[in-house]
Amino acid sequence: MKVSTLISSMKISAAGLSLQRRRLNVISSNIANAETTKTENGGPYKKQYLSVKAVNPNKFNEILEKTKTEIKITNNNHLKMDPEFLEDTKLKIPEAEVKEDNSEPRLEYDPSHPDADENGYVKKPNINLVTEMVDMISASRAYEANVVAINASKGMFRDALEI
Amino acid sequence: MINLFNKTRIPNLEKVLEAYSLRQKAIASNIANATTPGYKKVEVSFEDQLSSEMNSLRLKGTQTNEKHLSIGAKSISEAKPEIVESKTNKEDEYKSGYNNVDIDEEMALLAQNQLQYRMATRLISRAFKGIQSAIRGQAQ
Repeated sequence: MKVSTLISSMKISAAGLSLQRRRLNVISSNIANAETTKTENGGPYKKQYLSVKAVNPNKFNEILEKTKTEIKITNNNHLKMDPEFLEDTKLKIPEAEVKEDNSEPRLEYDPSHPDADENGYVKKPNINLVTEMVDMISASRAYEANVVAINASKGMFRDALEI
Repeated sequence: MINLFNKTRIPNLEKVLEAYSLRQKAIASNIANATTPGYKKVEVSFEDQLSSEMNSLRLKGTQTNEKHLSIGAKSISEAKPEIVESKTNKEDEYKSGYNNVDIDEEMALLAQNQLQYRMATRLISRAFKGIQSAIRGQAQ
């Protein structure tokens, strides 16, 4: 049995954990900046979100596999270069990128505000607190699910050691 | 290769362990991607290969020579656990949210897989104990 099999199931779950933590960071930043009307780029703070896509973690191994064809075995004692994860190219881990939501800012009527325009409207960030809270709960539940998966892998690994 | 363990169930159980640890990977991948838009959930095909073997068992050709081709059913050692994309690709599942991962289903599968793995490891260690008492030739 390959030890790497169980270990990499933990790696996949760890990628899930890291994704949910990043989501939580982004959400915290959105909530903290829900009233920020000025940023370095001018204009109000813009809602940030994670754009997630599923990628295969074995890009490195694929490259290794390509170079492998150039390695010739001219002697039986030569070691074979054989990355054993390659068969699992259908397994994917999430990869995230922080993006800004460019939707229109929320307009609030507050003529006394220093950032108000000539009509008395202040441009507030395009953040809906309720949406952020819901996303936050979703992220923390997804985080828990990944923790459970890691614990299951750990248990299985321990069982295997007890054979 | 002639091996002390070939006639026991240990090689089969090893195969089973391999399949379960691959399935663990697939489930971990599904859970990690539970919030990834457009992700397609993956499964491990293993048991279905075995059941098709069971059904075609009576077509099994006898091999009296190493060079004979195998006819009919594969033996369990030839079954290969592999990762496949789930075939339940209903459009509705994508409409409802991100992807076709059902987190409840995955958590249940996770628990089930863990227990099955534990069962297989227990069976293996029991098989080893059996061999050990056969070697000693006496009860414990």
